Parts: sequence; C-alpha cells; structure tokens
Amino acid sequence: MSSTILEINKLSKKYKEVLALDNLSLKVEKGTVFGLLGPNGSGKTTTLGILLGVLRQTEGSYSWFGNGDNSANRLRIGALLETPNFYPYLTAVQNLEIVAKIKKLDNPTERIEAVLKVVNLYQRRNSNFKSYSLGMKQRLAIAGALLNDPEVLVLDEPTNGLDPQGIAEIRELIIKISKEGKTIIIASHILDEIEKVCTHVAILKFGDLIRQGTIGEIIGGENFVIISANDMSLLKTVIDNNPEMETSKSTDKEITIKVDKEMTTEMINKYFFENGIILSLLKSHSESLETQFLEIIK
Amino acid sequence: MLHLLNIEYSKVKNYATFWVMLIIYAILIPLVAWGISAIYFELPGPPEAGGFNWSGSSLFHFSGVWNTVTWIASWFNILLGILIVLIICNDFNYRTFKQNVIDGLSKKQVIASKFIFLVALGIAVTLYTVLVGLIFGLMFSESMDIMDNFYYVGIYFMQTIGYFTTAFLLAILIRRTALSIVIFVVAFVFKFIFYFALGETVSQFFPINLFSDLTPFPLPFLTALIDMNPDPEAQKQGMEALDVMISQPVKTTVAGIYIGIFVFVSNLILKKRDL
Repeated sequence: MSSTILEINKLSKKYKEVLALDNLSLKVEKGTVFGLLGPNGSGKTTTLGILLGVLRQTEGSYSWFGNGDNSANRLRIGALLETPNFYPYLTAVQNLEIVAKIKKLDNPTERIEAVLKVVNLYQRRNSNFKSYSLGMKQRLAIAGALLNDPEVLVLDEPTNGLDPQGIAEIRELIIKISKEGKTIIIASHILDEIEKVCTHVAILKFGDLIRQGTIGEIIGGENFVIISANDMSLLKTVIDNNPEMETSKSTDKEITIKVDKEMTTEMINKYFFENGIILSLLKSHSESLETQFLEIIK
Repeated sequence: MLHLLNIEYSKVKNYATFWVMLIIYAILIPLVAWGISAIYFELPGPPEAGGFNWSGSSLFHFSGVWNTVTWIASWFNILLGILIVLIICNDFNYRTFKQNVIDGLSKKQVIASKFIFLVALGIAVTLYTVLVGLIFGLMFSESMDIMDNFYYVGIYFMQTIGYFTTAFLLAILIRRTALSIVIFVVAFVFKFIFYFALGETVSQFFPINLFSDLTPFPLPFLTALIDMNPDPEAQKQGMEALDVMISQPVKTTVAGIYIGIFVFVSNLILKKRDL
C-alpha cells in the first residue's frame, strides 16, 4: 500500500532580499528513502526547517500524514536538523529524558538505553554533552531522532562530523531502518551518501527544484566513462567528431564523456582504436550521481 | 500545563547555576533581615528634647513584618530576574528552543512553558519569603495578627512576575546572555536616573520604577531614619517626598497592565520570528 507521508505545496521562503526557497512542491510516499540534494545554500535546510516547524514559510503549505502542519505530527517524526542541539551541562541520558518528555514516551528509560546502544554512546551515557567530540554529539542527535521509534526519520547531513567508521555505521542504520518500512528523508551534499541509501531524489539549486525522481530515473538513461590517452588533443578531436559522445568533464589527464546507455566499454574501446587512439584508461564512471548532479546544477 | 512545567524543570534540575543563585537568594534574605533586626538607635534625653530610641526588631512585628521582609527580598529579586534572563538565553544559545519544536512542541507551547516556569518560580520564592517573614514575625512579635498586611505578599509575587516578564522580554529581544544581563541590571540604574531627572511624580510610572516600588521602603523604617536626622528641615523634606507617591492599588493596577503588555509583546515577537 502506498500512501503519502508528506506533501509540499508551492512552498517559498524569503529572507529580506534572498529567496531561499522558491515554489517547491514535492510528495514523499511511505517507505521511500527520499534524498534532498543540493549545493550549499540551495535551500535544503530551509525546507526541512519549515517542515519541522522552526521556520515560517513565506508562502505555500505542507502536510504530514495528511494532517496539515499540526505540531503533534512531529511526535511521530524523528528529526535531526543542522547541528546537534542539547544542553551542554546535562548528560546524554538527561538530555534524552527531556526529548522523551516532549515526545510523551511511555517507556523512556528503555528507549534511551536502546538508542544509546544503537549509536554506540552507551558507555559515555553519563558524561556531560559538552565533553563530547563533534562525532559523539552527532551520534547523540541521531539517538534523539530515533528515540520515539519514529514513522518518519528526517536527517539533515546525518554524517556530519563522523569518522569513516561512523559514516558507515549510520549508513547501515539508515538502510536497516528503511527496511522496516519506515520513511526517511535525508538532506545532504555528500552524493555518495545519497546514492547508496536513497530510493528517490530531489535536486535543489538556489531554492529551485531542478529535478525529481527515483534514483534510477536520475542516474539512468546515461552512461559515463572516463578515458585517457597519450595524445590528449587527438583524443579530444576524436570525441568531438562523434555526435554520440559528449564531453562532460575534461582535465589534462583524463576526460569524462557521456555516452548512450546502450554503448558498452567494448564498443567505445573499439571506436577509439579504429580512429587511431590506444586508450590508456577506460573505466565506467562509478560516481554517476555526482556526475549527473554536477551536470544538472551547472 | 504540568507536562510543560515538568519539561522545564528537567532543564534546570541539574543546572548548578540555577541552584546556586536560588541558594544565594535564600541565604541573603534572612541574613539581611537579621542584620536589620539588630539595629538599635538611641538619642538620649526625654522625648520633648528630641530624645528617642528605635530598634530594628520593631520592623519585624506582625503586620509590619510583611512590608519589611518583602522590601528586603525585593533587592534580591533582581538576582532572580538575572536567573530568568540566563535560562531563556540558554535556550537560544544552545538552540534548544528550536530543538524542542523539532521534537514536537508547538511554538506556542515553547513560549507557554517558559511563562509557566517563571510563574512557578515566582510562587516558590514568594512562599519562601513568606516563610522567612513568618519566622521573623514569630521571633519578634507579641501580637499574633499574622494576616494583617499580608497583602504585601501578593504584591511581592506581582513584583517577581514583573521582574521576570521584563527579563523574559529582554532575553528574547537580545538573545545574548551577557548583553541581556547587563541591560537588565542597567535598567535598575536607570530607575535612579529617571528618579533624579524627572522627579518621583513622573518616574514612578516607568516599569522598572513601578515594579520596584511595589514593595515600598517600610514606612516605620523611613520615619525612624527621618527622625534620626536632627535637622528639622530635612525631616520636613523627607515627609513631603512621601506625599507624591501613588497609592498601592494604583501601583498594582499599573504593574498588572505592564506585565500584560510585556507578555503580549514577548509572545508576539516569538510568534512572528523564526526560532
């Protein structure tokens, strides 16, 4: 059964001179992992800030669970927005107790213990928040978001400040939670992160929605390969001569070209060989979302 | 409502500064009261020749004690106002106002929880002040007219709320702890500047002057101090100064209006502004 978790209708936010968000409309269906992508200042955090009730939209509306912008909706959401916000003089447990009271949890002690174990902070549960490293603060914020076992998880740059191991753990966690049928909305500029966990993506730039669709729709349809040869200028000429190839990124050492999805690396290799070039490098581009993204926001 | 108060209490329960400031308040009031009760002044000679004696403990007889104790407490009430500034600025600095909303409170509830908390704190310190007054009254009175002039306690509560709402308004306007505290304290300095620049008649209507005048200098103490001055001209001036003071009911009403305005404006600012 597919039902709408979140519906955004022509949302705009204007700060004095700057239009931080322009007429954004989106729909997030239940069970999806929705990635909100965009460079710094594209309106990701502004969007989430409005959806979480801390910013007032200039125009437009949104509705959680088909229930409008009622603050009680947020009791069913777990969210992490921008920075981890806690009382520095309180311990992890004491801080989460406040969150539990706001969320009106029946079993705060058990839940606090459970989430602190999930984010690997249980050992340090009785240390003051101010003694935590940036990564630990971020983990506590994630624990706070998970505390009410939410139906929807909203994460703004969730891996900020985490070490590689922490990033991998959080990614695992996101995948695990999404498998439980929960809906997750992630804002990030780390494309690798989005590509690995998201099912749907929306790309923002300067407050405008540039592209929206499933990961397949965004990355699919096009194929990127990185090539290199000893004679780079000849290589460029040969690429330009082929209408089916388009230079996407070019450096002194290698060129990324966009080719049709049907075109295999074998065919590409053959084409260049026939034109008198022996490729010294030929690999399909793994970070396709990044390439797409850079292409899209150009 | 209790839910919101409970949330606010969790924030200060383990906040050392909160308890230290309350303890300072709790110690200073009886200490100063004890100091005043120990004053003894004597001009030798028969009353016709200007001779008289006066003991500070007379200020702690029932009926008078409520005026005296609330007047003493009112000085340290400023300390509690600073505490309120601190607590509210903390929620801005730590971005926890924002987090509370993200976690599920409405903006209205966030504002309400602070008001509920400051009213609860006002009730608590007023009750404590009553306790101090009761103990000193029982120590120094022969009469047992405990309820006489008890209305000073209500007025003291009003002053507490007056200071707290002033602190609240400053904190949400300025949002920076140090600056807010400085301005809050400077407001009390301005109280005297207004007094000297504009005279009692006008200056008594300024919010800070009005709130702090709610708990007046105990009249017997004042007359005793005037009497202690052997210069008759100074005595006359002292008595005239008392005449321009507005009556207690008028003060209380105007203070109530100010509190209403401050609450309304604070609410309006928070509602309009992004957290």
